[in-house]
Amino acid sequence: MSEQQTTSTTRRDVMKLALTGAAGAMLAGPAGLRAATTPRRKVATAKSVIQIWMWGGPSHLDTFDPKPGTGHDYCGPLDKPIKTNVDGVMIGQLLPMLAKQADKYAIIRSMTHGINAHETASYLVQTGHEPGRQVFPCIGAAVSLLKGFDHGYKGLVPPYIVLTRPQGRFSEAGFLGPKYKPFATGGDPNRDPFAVEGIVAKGITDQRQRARRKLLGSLDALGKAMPNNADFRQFDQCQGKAYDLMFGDARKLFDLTQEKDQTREAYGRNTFGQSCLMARRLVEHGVPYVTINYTGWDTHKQHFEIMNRKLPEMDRGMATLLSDLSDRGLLDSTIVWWSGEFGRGPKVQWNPPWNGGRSHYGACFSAVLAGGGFQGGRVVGASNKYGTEVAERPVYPQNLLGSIYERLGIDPDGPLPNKRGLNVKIMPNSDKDKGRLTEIM
Amino acid sequence: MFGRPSRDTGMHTERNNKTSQAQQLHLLNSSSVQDKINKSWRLRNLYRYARGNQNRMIDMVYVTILSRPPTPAERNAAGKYFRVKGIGTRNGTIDLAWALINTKEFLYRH
Repeated sequence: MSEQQTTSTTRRDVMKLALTGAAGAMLAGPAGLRAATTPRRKVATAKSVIQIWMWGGPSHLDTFDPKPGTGHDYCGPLDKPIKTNVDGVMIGQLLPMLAKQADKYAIIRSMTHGINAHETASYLVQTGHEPGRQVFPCIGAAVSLLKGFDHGYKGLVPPYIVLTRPQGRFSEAGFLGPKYKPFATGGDPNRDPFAVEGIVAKGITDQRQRARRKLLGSLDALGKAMPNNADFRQFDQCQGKAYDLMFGDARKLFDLTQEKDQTREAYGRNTFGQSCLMARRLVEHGVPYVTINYTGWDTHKQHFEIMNRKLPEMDRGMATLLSDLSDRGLLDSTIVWWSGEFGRGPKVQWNPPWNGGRSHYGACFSAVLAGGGFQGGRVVGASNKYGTEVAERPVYPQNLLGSIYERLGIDPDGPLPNKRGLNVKIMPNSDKDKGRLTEIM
Repeated sequence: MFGRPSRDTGMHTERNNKTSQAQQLHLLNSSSVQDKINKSWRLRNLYRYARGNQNRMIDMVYVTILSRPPTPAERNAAGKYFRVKGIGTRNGTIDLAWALINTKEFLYRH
């Protein structure tokens, strides 16, 4: 008996030593060891991510974690949540279209980090790090590095796209450098034309663009004088590629008039809805990471009026995105991640100056994950009766981000390549507390 | 821009004078560059001052941007552009300025 035990321990020790000894071949070792103990398959299931960033922090009680029966103090007028097409799961009454798609997504009701400041929380949720000496890249930038041009991406447009305004330094490339910053389109996809920065110039007709390009060509005195200069040849190449973006297929990619009117109506004729449609087109094209920065959720005042106005818009856009991705066979390879930097205070602030608002709430909030190999129709974790605390299975940003990386086929414990010589993992502590979202993977 | 390292590292080895597609796109077609040209008081004054005399205007745009007068061939090419259908004198001046800013001569020498 003891002999057998000694033998098996020795063998495992030897394996461990051999694997850690081969530190240079980093990824093979620890992953192999873990596979022996975890039955979950570590296979890449997703090719792209659409991040619906609920800028400002959306109320979790009024969206995916309703608390009926807690009264006016907590629910306000939104006290009749609705059933979904998944038994036993209810969501907010202003999301009827999403209620019919609940089989496609998993709701995480136990997100937590305890931070109530916008900037710090935005940074933490999108990078998995607390502020410190180094500025870490957000997951979009990391995916842009690991799945971008250096790794076989051949799309017409950059691999990391933001619709439409970037958030700036709280969700950017950090120390990875400006090469991995997102391409923010600017403009408004609900307008025709969608004035994508650098691709569609407002107020300049196509005819004029082409005419002045010819003018530029005819005025290139220095270039003509030095035809063999290598830098100049590279210059011309780049300029040619830039024009390809402006006139070619990249332009068509951003042209939403290529979609049927019916489709555009289904997503909703507003900036968010059309951004969801644009995101679908981008992942169809193969873009690995798209962020939709959906603003206006910081509802300290007029919370319920704003929910009445915005939730139906969010409902339509997001529900149509999920069903459209599914219909086109893209949902299995596209992760859709819905979240903000935190939730909102479960106890409504009826007193002045708020007069019916909700505060910042980072102790307990919700996130939603769909597609890309995440199981739909599920709920992960739970909050307490009032939604003020995590009751079961806390989920930290590191756990969630680590799960997304894993589904993309990126090992969160692998090294993050960088030019600073920093020895960091892609997502340190992704196993924090209860670990990654294995329940839905 | 232009193959330079980010400000906080200043790594010498990261300097090269190569352009990139993104920079080109910015120079050729970004709203910020176009706005600057459209709103330039200098160009506007130039236009008002030399409006009657096209050749003079072309000369002044060249001197303003490239610090030299145009060659006869260049003056010719620019003049032809002004006569393209739909391009007036105002847009012509703007586009000439735009073109000069995008030439190698401007980008590498100025």
